[in-house]
Amino acid sequence: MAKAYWVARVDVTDPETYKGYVAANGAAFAKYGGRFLVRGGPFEPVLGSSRERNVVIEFASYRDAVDCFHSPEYQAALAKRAGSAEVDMVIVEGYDGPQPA
Amino acid sequence: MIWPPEYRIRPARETELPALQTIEESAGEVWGAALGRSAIPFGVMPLAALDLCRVEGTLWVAADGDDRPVGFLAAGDLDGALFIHELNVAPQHQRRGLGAALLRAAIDHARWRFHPAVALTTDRYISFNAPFYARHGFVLLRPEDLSPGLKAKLASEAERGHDPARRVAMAKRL
Repeated sequence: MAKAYWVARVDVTDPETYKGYVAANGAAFAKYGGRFLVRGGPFEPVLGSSRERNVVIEFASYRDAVDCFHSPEYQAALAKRAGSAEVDMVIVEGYDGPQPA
Repeated sequence: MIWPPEYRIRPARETELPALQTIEESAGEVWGAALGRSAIPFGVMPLAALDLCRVEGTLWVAADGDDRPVGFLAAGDLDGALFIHELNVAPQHQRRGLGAALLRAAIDHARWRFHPAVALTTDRYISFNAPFYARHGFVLLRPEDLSPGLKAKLASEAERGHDPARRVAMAKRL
């Protein structure tokens, strides 16, 4: 089964508040098997717009990725960061078909 | 670069805390030899202190191919900075980049959690103390630049018998 990913780009406007969210979101990721593949590493803004903090989190399935977002655990963490960041995020299904030759 | 590649850095488990004390003890022998005096009087991190770090998510181990800890880094918040309490690698696993790998994990964590700096106290002269941290971007702090917490750390180390002329505080700004 294809995996699925949260792909998020974040500009933190209030680090003090946002810190509380970062400390709290682990419970949801632990419960739904979320694994950080990208966690704010160095990046090159080569095209278009970018944000300062880039994150990719892997889940075993699309279902897990969506359920994690809507879980009470994650929503509770999310409530802690209200107004402290501008975020673009999608949940996207992975691809496990053949690669171009 | 960690060598051999089967080592990995991961959070410590509760059951592993006594093993971490043993690692600190054995690493202390190498450290004491470099210092020219025994490290035994300084003791090791108490289990309760290790567990506090573990619960905070700031206790990492370097595990060998059998997933057994052979090194660890324990850290915690001090005046907003991430303070490194201990960084130890068992003697038979030293000189393979495990200390640097543990340090990188702590720095990544500090950056991710918005700590403005990573700080520590260490020996000024031992090659794998201050010079090691300097290679990783840490700078010596002058006495007038010390936060209250770092000042207190150095004072309590002096009280416990460390040579204040050799102990220094260092920090890496993030």
